[in-house]
Amino acid sequence: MKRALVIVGLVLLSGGLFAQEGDDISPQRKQAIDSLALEKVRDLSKYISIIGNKDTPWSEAQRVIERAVELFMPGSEMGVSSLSRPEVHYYPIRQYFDRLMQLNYDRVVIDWYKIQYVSDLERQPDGTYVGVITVFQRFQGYDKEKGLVYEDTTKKDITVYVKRKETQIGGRLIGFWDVLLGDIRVKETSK
Amino acid sequence: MTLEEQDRAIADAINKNFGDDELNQLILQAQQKSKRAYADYQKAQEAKVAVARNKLYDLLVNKQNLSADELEEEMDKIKAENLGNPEIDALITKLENKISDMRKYGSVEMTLKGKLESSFQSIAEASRAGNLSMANSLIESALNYFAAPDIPVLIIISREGSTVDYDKPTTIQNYLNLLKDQKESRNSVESYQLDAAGKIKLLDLIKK
Repeated sequence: MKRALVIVGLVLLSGGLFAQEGDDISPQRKQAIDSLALEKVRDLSKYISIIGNKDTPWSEAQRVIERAVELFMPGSEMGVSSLSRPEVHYYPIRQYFDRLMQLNYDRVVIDWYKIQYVSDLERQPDGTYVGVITVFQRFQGYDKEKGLVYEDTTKKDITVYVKRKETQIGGRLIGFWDVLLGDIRVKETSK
Repeated sequence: MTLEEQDRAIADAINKNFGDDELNQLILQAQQKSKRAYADYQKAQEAKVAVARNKLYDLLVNKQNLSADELEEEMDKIKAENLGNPEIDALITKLENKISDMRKYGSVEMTLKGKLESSFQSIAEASRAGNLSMANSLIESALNYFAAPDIPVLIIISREGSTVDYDKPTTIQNYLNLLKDQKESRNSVESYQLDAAGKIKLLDLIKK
């Protein structure tokens, strides 16, 4: 009898542990994570705009590049397209930002809009949530004398990875959601 | 006539000793009626005291999370009843002390919380207006509230029962720069911890 109780206890315990590991989070928490990931993409859009802006002081652009790079998984790449060539070039993130800062225009305006999920965050077996967010990028390059000399609109897909982690801060155990962006793929470019 | 006046009138009539049976009978009826009235009054007072006691205990634990002003308003209603009960008076004194403490503590809390939020808002607004040097100077000024530029900042994104979800922890220096870069202040101050010098050593924010 005692043995049976112990077995039942162990089964219940293992069931509990399993439930904890594989638990789906509540809709309210999921919504908070969805919003957090979208917020990181919006943060990136502002960073890109600052880095590309010719009025941004060099030191400020360097600081912003550091912050922007922190948003990405190591090894991530950014796709760059142009109306003047059919192929898409992929650059390591930091290289992309360096190039963005040095674009050969007198004024650059980059605007991201319609930032939304095309593929919801889905839980993977390792506990990471993966989704895809799409953005539309309006790029405008200006020349001091000729005015607007180049513009295009590019649809880009950004893979997003979100994982819950824990850390100890001030004696408190903090459970946080680490949002990292992956590759940014060009889907289409138009005038 | 009040109960006391009625009692006095009955006592006067007894003292005059009219020696009239019919009158004595009426005095007896008046005495009994007065006793019943006293009993009813006593009962009503006890009920009022019971209600006031329960209300005061609720106010002392501040079940409804009322502000100091709201607590005082509720307390004044009880005071206005003039119950003249020592237990109620003692509870009122306790509540007065609590309200006073809330005001003392709350005003300090509000000032720093208010200053921080206003400072965050100003940084975002200066940046939105394109005034980078003003935003930088406001950042330097905001850093004075903190023990160091690298003190941790935690941002609550969701709270469900005992489960609290945070954004990735950052530092105050990075957070202030984020306000400048993003040109908006998206979080409210939830709480903070001060060090011995009165500087913030840990800041908790929450999504607005």
